[in-house]
Amino acid sequence: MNGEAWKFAQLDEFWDHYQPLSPWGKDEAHARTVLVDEPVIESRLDDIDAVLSLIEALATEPSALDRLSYHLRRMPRVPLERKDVYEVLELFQFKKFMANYRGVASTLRAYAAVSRWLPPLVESSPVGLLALELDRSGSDPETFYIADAYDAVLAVARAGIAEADEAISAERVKAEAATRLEFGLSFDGREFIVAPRDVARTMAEAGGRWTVEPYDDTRYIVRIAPSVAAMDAMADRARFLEDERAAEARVVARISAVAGAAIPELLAMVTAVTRFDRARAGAVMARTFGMSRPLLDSRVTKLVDARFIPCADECERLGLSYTPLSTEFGADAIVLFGLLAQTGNFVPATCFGTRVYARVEYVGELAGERLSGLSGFGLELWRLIAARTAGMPGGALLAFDELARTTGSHEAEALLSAVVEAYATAHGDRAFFATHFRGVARIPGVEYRRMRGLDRAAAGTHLGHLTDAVTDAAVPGAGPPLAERLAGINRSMRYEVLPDDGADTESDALAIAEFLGLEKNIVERARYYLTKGGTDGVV
Amino acid sequence: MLDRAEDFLGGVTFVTGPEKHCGKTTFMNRAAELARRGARAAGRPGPALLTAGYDGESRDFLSGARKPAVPVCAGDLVLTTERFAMPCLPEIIDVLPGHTALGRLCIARARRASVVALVGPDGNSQIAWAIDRIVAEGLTDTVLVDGAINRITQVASIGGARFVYVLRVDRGTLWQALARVRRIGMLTALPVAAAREGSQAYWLDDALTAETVARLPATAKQVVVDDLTKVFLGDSELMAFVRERALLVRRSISFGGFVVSCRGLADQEFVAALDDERLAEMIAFNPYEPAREMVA
Repeated sequence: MNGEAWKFAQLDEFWDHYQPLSPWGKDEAHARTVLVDEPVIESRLDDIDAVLSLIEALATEPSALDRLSYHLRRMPRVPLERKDVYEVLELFQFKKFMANYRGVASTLRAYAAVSRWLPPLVESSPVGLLALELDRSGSDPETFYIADAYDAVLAVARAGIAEADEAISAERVKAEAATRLEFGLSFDGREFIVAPRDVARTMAEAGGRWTVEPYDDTRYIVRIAPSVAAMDAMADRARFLEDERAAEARVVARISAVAGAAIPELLAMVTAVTRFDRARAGAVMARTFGMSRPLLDSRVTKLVDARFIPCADECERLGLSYTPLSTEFGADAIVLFGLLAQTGNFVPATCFGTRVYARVEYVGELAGERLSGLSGFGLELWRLIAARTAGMPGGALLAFDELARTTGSHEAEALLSAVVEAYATAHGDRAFFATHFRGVARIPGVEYRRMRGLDRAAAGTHLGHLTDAVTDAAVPGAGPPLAERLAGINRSMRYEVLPDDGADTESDALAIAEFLGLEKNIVERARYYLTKGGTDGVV
Repeated sequence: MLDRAEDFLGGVTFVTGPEKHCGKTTFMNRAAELARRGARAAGRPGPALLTAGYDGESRDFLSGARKPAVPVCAGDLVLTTERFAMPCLPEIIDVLPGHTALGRLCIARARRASVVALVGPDGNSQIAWAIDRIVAEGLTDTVLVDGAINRITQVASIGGARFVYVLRVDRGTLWQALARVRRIGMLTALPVAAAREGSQAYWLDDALTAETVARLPATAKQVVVDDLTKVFLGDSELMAFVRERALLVRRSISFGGFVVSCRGLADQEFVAALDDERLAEMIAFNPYEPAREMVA
């Protein structure tokens, strides 16, 4: 169910800003694990605090931060299981990992709070011995090949191969020169050439120095046949290659044994890297968005200057001002903050007080969602039933968004009232409901809030002249275009949460109708019916 | 044309062709040799040799049939599997994410001359990743990629990348080959569309196929596709299309020219049958057929 809560909170887009760089950090980010163990979450938050201090300390040395990112990004995934024989590629990965681990560890050396997570390699330890072995080859600290230094036979075999190659090459050069001299044809390093038929026929008759085969009716393909000296060199080469293969296999087996012994330490190093990488990503995100550490021991859910980023971004796109939420609740905002906190990250608020829940659940229909055979209402109820029956120790944080909105308003209000009542009298769970129904029962123990919505005074300023123009014209559709009117209304929307005592009977819908130019007498009559038929129950 | 080191040095060249066994690898080997000599003379790193995809030639390896071999020299870079790189005493520089059916792929530097088999990744993104890794990290600036025509899209985004089109012609395939040359000549000359915003043109997000053409509004007199690889109309359909509408591309892919190997007909016969001076200037003929020098 966390997946639905995640979608509902529109956390995906925001989560893109959480960017670990190592393969294991990326795995964690991709997994989007919501933690339920408070000490684990607190420990992760401590790590972010530590890295934030590190970043502060490195403010005068930005290249050190770049170095850390560079090395984390270059870390390859290494095999973490013990094997008798590793592939050469895997030995390379060990070497590259250790080179970059050392890069991170040495950059952090002066910063005790973090550097203890990544201790330097000890030469006499299994992993130190592996590093020594692997560092015997490669033209730089990150590359690897099976160097001559690993086995005495290798140097001999490779010298033999080089000598054979030289002999083969010298014979080839001689044969190419002879071809040019005798027939005016230049191989120039080509494996074969296409030559005129008459010339090729002459070459074929010249004592087996060239092999010839037809290409088409006027041309033949010509290859240089190896000389006796070249064939002898090829035979030598093949023999030395066999020696080389056998020696390489011995080397790989020997280094594999050293690597196998180092696996437990390598595993610990990967865990340490992941810890640092995760905390670095969390700290970078926290700095980018001015986020703060959530308080996980709060008896109540509390928000101060909280920015529900998806909504703030949407406001920015629409040219609207966004008002941060303080000490109030919005279901999707609460879910976003709750989920972020339970991934072990900071949250975009000056203060967020909460507690750790065993489950974070969303009950409602997601955008564009339909399950085969179930209406939107059926789907909501299915999720509600699942949430009600999934009880487990630790309680749940639940968000209900517009429950039963697709059914009749009276039935919806009745159902919603009963569900609110069920959660108000239950212990352990904390439920948030968002609804546009005004007739939900007022139940003891339930806190009621409302969005401020349309700022009518501001809208009047923005739109007064427009509505006058429309109504005066008395022509449907006359006056300023719809887009201009809607923009004026949007600019006047206030995303603020206010206490709701249920007494407010003013309707944004009727105000908007008026601003859009609906006839005044219809709007007035609608207000009359609203007041007459209104209830005190507003959620 | 396409017979000098400068034609390949300092750029990414995609060696492509209409089908397997059309001479792509053989031409790449020649281009690599020219580039290698040029690089050596100029004190630059040797070329990187890659193959895109996993075509018939690779499958031949699984069945034991011979795959066109790729000679490499010390200092060349190759993209292949550990096993296939072993003959050149490879120094492993990086490992590509994921696996292929032939094993994991690595970028390796040859430490001695040898003959290797190249193996390419399954997806376009990985070939782009490997090229970026090679070029961006300064391992070399000369890259040759052996690959089918439908694998060049990713390379289009790499600065300075271009492709050459290799084809083998005999009397039986002459008209088909001429049609291919004309088609590629036409597609590589498509104009690049100006910015989408405010454009009057119809921007097609899909490929241009008979089906998408049927769905185009009659008012769409200018149609923009991503690049030339997104055109899947047959020759006659394409000609009919461009008679009625202007076809543009969002981004062009640089074109290096044609490499035509004639068998059973003379090069001049091909040029005469093509009857297009502009296209004829873009053709290099069989690089394995050297001109005969005077014999003393």
